[in-house]
Amino acid sequence: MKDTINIVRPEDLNLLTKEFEVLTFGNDTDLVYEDHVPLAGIVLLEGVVEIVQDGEVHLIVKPPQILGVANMLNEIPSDFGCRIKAKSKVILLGKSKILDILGDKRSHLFKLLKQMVPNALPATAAAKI
Amino acid sequence: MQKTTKSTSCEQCPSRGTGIFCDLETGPLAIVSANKVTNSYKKGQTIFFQGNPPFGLYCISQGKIKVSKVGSDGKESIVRIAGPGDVLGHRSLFSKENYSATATVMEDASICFLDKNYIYDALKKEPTIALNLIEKLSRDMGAAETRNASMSQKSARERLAELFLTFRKNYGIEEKDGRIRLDIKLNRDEIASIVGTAHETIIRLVSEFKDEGILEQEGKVIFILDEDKLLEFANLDY
Repeated sequence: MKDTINIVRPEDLNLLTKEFEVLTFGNDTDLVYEDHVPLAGIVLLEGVVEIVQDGEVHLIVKPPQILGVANMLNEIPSDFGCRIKAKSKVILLGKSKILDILGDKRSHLFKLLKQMVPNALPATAAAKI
Repeated sequence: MQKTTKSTSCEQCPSRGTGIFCDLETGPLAIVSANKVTNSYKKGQTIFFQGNPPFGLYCISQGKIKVSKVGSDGKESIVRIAGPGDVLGHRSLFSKENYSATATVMEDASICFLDKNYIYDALKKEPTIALNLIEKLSRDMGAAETRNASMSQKSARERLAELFLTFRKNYGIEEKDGRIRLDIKLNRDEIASIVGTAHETIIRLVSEFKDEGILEQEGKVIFILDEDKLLEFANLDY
C-alpha cells in the first residue's frame, strides 16, 4: 500500500488552511471506496474518518491526519475505503493544485508537501492547461 | 503486489465527442487527462450525497447514474438519469451550494473527476469548455421546465408516454425485428418517482400500454412496438 496516514503538525495546518479549501461534510460519506483512486487527499481537521476494508471498520482516523494524496497522485487504487462521518471538517487537497505546487520548487508549500507526502510524484508530473 | 489502475486517456474515452472537454485540441486534452481521476463504480455506489459540499466535477465515461432528491418525508424522487458524456455536480459547483441531490450508480460506471481548482482555471483559459457547459446547463434547464409543465398540465398516462419517448431517444436500440429495446433498467417505483405518480398507477398504465400494443416486456427489458401511438399518448406540443 503506497499511501500512508500521516500526522500533520499544527504549524503546517495553518498554512494548508490558507491555501486549500476547508469543507464540512453534512452526511456520512464514502469519500474513497476500496479499490478506488482517491479523488482528493484530505487533512482531517475535526471529526472522524473510518478506514473500511471488506465492509468492516479497521481503523478510526482522528485529527490532524493526512491521507489519500500519494495514491491520488500515483493513480494507485486504495486498499481501503475511507468513510468520513457527518459534521467532519477537512482540508481538501485537490490534484491540480498539488501538481502545481510540486511543479514549482520555489513555492512555499513545496517543501511542506514533499515532507508530508514523500511518495508523491516528481515535479515533471505537473501539468497546466 | 501493489494494485495499479489503467486510467483511460480522454482521447480513448468511449464517450469521446459527447463531453464538455471533447472539443479541445490534443495538447489541452492531454492536460485534462493528467488532472483527472478515473474510477470504476459499481451499481449502488454513491458519487455524491445530497447536503454535502461539492469539490469538483464528474464526467461520465460509461454507465448510468440516477440523480435523486430525498424529501422531508424520506421519499426519494428521481430528478434525472445521467449517461455517457454527461457531467454531474456542475450545478452545485457553480452555484456554490451544497449538493441538492444524491447521485447513485444504476449500472456499473466509469467516471472521471476533475477538482474545482482545475475546472475554474480551465474555464478561464478554454472558452470551448465554458460554451459546452453553458449548452449542457441550458438543455438541463429546458428539460426541467418541460418536466415542471408536464407535472401540472399532463395526466400520469401522458407523462409516462413522454418518459418512454425520452428513453427511446436516449437509450433506444432498434432490433432486427423492428422493436425498439430500451437499454435502461428501472423498477416500477423508480418509474413512478420520475413520472410523479403512485406505484400502482404505473403498474396499471404499463398494463394498458401493453394491451394497446404500444410496448411489451421480456423479463426486465421493455420494448417499444408502436412509437407513433406512444407519441399520440404523450400529447406533445410541436
